[in-house]
Amino acid sequence: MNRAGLIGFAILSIFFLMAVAPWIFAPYDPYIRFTPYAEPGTDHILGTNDMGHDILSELIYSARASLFVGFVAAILATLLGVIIGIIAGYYRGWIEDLLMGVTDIFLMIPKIPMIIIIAAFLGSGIWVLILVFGAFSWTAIARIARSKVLQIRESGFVLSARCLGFSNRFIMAREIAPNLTHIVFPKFMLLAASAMITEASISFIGLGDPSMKSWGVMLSFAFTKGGLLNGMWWWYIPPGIAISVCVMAIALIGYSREKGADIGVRG
Amino acid sequence: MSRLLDIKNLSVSFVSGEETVRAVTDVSFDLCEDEVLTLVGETGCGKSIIAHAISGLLPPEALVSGEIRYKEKDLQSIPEEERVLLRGCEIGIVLQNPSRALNPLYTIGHQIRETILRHTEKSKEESNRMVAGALRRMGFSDPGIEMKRYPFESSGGMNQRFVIASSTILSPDLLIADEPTTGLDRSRIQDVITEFERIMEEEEMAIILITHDLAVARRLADRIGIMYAGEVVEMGDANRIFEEPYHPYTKGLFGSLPENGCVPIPGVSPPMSRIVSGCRFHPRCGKRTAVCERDHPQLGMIDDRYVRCHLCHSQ
Repeated sequence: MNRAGLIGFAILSIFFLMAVAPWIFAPYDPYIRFTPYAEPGTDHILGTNDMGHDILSELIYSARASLFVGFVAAILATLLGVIIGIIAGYYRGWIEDLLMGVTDIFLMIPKIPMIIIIAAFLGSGIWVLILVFGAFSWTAIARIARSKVLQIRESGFVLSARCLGFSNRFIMAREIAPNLTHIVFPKFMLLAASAMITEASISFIGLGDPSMKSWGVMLSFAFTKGGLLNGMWWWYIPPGIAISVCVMAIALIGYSREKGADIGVRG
Repeated sequence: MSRLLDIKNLSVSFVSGEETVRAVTDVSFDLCEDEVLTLVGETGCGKSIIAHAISGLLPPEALVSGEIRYKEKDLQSIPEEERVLLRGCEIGIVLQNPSRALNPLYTIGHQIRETILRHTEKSKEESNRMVAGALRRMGFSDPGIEMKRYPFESSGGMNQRFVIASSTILSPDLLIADEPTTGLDRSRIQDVITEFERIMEEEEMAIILITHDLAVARRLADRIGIMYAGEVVEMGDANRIFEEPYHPYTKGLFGSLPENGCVPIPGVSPPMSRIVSGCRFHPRCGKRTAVCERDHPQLGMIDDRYVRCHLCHSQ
């Protein structure tokens, strides 16, 4: 990992710590009510919001939901993409044509409008967001996984696994899949970043889960409850910075691995 | 000795677009238990296709005709699942390019062990002991260290021996080795030959060895089959053929060896998509006659061997 990757890793670790144990960092419970609309001061470093919640504590507690959505949605999309890509690349023929045709159709569907429509029908919630994001984001991974599998399936160790009498499922899961890690991982990190931004956007336009604390929900309230109009920068700038820095950290890790992606299995 | 493998009139062709590539034409031979048969020929003469046809590894677009009987079972007609289980357990296969035949992400021990776990009910510890035993027999004095290594940490010759170990660990009845020495330098080839000699001595195993290295063939073969353009042109006892080849192609092949003066056969092998009329070797043959250009010779018995040549049959 290069220096940029290490910086990204350090930043992301801090965010992960915040998500796992927010009480270590946060000065208050984010649901305790103080004087609303307080400006930053010694008691509340980033002031309070319309409900009187301490914004710094809210910011720290929000890391959990944002990271959760980002990574769970990315894991879902990656699993789907890798499975579809491996099956298409390994079996080839009509199975490949069918799966890649479906991939092309999914590739055309715009993700955020789709999530807005589905959230409007099914009601908003964190799991709807995760499932819909996962269901519509696997296409890129399926494509790169397939093209790599086409290459790996002709390699000697896959042939010798067939010579040794291993089943197709074993070969796909144990011989081919691990060899995809280095090309799928950077894509996975970028998907996680993209899912976090999607969560923030969806929450911002009011289709998020209002009972949950996430950076997108914070931004949404800052906007709808007058924080933006009244110039309360301590309310809307910190969640924006948190999203940007966290996404940047994830992207840095992803990019740093991408550079090494062409080293690995040859032929 | 009873018969293990019986191949009758095996032909394999590939259709791509308008062209039909006839990779193997009408090859028949049988193999007894404990016998070593070597198939020799130039690149592209169809040797590897025969190996792939026996092991059932041909791509689905290949057209196969003829009969491959293994222990009285027709390998073409048994279901794919049964065939998968035969591979690795009863039929061991060693392919060329050893470094690529091992998955770079697993240790040697893990990869050899997987074969045992796949085909038997043995536990992991038992399998590990079997792997260690096999490696020790191969002359690795400390198998524990070798088993923990990754393929890129070992040399090509060592990797080829690991591949042979995983193909032979379950003592298959038939071992098919497709160019096991290609891409290795002389001393590594020596290691692999030694390994085969050990297997031939210690285990009851029939071996089909496919090679274009005549020195390897001479060291190991009981019987030898010379192939040219998808056909067997001469087949018989290895020592007899090496002493006195009959077919002009075999003579040319031996004549092209460095120790025999390094005289190459003129011309190149014909493309497999356009079959030469008459004898397939006649454009390159120094002794061709009118009949060679007209009629396709049949494989016939002369003395102790089969030869496919008009000239040899008329003498």
